[in-house]
Amino acid sequence: MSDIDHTSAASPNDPAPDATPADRAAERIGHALLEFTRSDNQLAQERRIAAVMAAVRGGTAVTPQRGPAVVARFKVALGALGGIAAMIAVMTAVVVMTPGQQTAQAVIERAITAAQDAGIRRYEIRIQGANADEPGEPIGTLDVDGAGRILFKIKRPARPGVPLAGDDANTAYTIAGRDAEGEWAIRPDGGIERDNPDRAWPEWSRIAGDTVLVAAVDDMMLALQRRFTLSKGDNATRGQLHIRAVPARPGPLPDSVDVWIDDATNLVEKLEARWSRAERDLPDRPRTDQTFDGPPPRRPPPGPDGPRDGPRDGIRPDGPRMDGPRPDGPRPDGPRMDGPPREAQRRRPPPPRLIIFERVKTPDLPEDWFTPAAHTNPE
Amino acid sequence: MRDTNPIPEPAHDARAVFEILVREHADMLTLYIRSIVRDPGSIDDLFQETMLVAWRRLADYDRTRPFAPWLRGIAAKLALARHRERGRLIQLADEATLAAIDERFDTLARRPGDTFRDRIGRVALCITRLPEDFREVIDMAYTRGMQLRQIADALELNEETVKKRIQRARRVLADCVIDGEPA
Repeated sequence: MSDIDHTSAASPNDPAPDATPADRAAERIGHALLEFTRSDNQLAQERRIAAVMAAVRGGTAVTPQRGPAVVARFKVALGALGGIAAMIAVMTAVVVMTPGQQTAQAVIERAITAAQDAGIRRYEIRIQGANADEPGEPIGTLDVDGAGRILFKIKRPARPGVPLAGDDANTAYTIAGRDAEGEWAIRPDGGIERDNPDRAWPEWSRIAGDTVLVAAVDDMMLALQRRFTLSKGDNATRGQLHIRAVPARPGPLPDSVDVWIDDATNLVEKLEARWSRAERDLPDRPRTDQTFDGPPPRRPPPGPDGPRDGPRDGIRPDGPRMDGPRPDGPRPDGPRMDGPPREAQRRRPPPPRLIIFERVKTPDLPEDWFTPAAHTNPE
Repeated sequence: MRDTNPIPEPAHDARAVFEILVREHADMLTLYIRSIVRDPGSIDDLFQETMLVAWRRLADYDRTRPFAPWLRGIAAKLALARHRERGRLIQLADEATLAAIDERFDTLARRPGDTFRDRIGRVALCITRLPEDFREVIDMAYTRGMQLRQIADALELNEETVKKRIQRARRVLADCVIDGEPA
C-alpha cells in the first residue's frame, strides 16, 4: 500500500472548514479529473479490465501492477487512445477454451504483466512482403515502454524506386509513435503531426483500420488474450515458451501469431504474425488521397455540448500514409508527402505474409525518447 | 496481491454480459474512486474489489435501475470499510460530501456523449479556460509535479494561498466539465 505524498500540491488538501458538501464534491471531482487525465489512459484501463476479467474467469483476484511512475506525469490525454478499448469491446471474441489453453492464457497474462515493469524494450522489425519468399533485412525498430508509449523508427527509400538505404547517417527514417496524448508522427518538414499521424504509420501496422493489433508488441499481447484461441506451441526453445494463437473468428486478423516468451523474465522475445490467406481476399476499400502540403486541418476541440467530431468507434478514417517502407518494399509511385493528389481512389495494399518483432538490446535512450519533440530533427 | 477467496462460477454468458458492463463503466468507476479516496495506490485495489463484488452480487442488482449508481455504492462501501481499517489514508469524503459527489456523477451521466470519456471530454478545454492564475498552479501541481512549497516559492506566495488557489481551480474545473459552464 503506497502512502500519500502530503507535500505534493496535487495531493488532496483538507477542504476549508466552511466549504459546503457541494464545494467539497466539486473539488474532489476536479482533482480526480486531473489525475484521471494524466494517469488513466486507455491502456491503463485495459489492464484494470483485464485483471478483473482474469479474476472472473480464473476464480482468483489478481491486482494489476501499475506501469512506471512516468505515466502519472502525463499531460492531458483524453480521447487520444479512445478507440482502442471501444474497438476491443465491440469485437470481443468468443474464445473457445481447449485443454492447455488455460496455461497458454496464463503465460500471456504473465507476459502482459511483466511488460508493465520491464522498462523500455526494443524490437527489431522484419517483414516478408506478400510476394517475397523470405523475410528481408530489418527495416527498423519498435520501442515500447510497457505503459502504452511506443516509437517506430523505420527506414524509407530516399527516392522512389531506390532500395532502402543502409543504416548510416544518410538513411532516411519515418518516425512515428504514441504517447499519452495519442499518436504522432514527424512530418517531412520536421514538424510534429498529431492531427493525422496515421498517414505516417506503416500500412502493416494496422488491421481493419486500427493500429491496436500489430502496432506494438504489447498491444498485440492484449489482443491475443482477448481475440485469439491460445495453445502451447511445438517450437519452444531452451528458456523460451512458445505460444501459438489463431483468431477465434475469421477476419482481417493474422491467420496465426507465434510468440516466444522468456520463461525467466516472462518478456516477449519474439513475435511472428502470419497471413496465409492474407487480407487481400477482402474487398478493397476506397481511399481518399491526401497530401501533406501545409498544416493539416486541426480537429475541432470538444464542443460545449459533446465530444469532438470524428470517429469514436476505434476505426480510423482510411487515408493514405506518409511515406515509409511498405510490406513489399518502396511504394511503386514513390512517397506521397508532396504534390497534388494523383488518384481519388486507391486500393489498400495486401498485408505482408509475415511480420517479425524480435527483441534486441535496448540502447541508452534519453528520457524524452517517446515524445515527438525528441525527434523533430532526426536526420 | 492475491485474494484466495473463490469466485462463483456463473455461466459464460453472464461473464460476457458482465465484461460489457465492466468496459462501459470502467472510466466512470475509476474517476469516482479517485474522487473519494486519498491514496492513489488504492485505486487499482478498489477498482478490482468493486467490480468483483458487483460480479458476485450481480443477481442482486435491480435491472430496472441504472448500473452506475449501484457500482458507486459498492465502491463507497468498500472505501468506507478500508477507511475503518486503515484510517485517513483511504477515505476522505464525509457522508454529505459522498452524497454530493454521487449527485454530481448523476449529472455527469446526463451529459451528451456516447461514452464516459466523451462526457468528460471538456477537461482539456476547461483547463484552457481557467483564469491564468488558476491554470498556472494546476500546471505546476499536476503537469510538472511540483510540491506546494516549490509552487509557493516560484510564485512568491505563501503555501496557504497556493493551496486555496488549487482548491478553487479544481472546483471551477469540475463545474465547467460537469455543468458545461465556461470556466
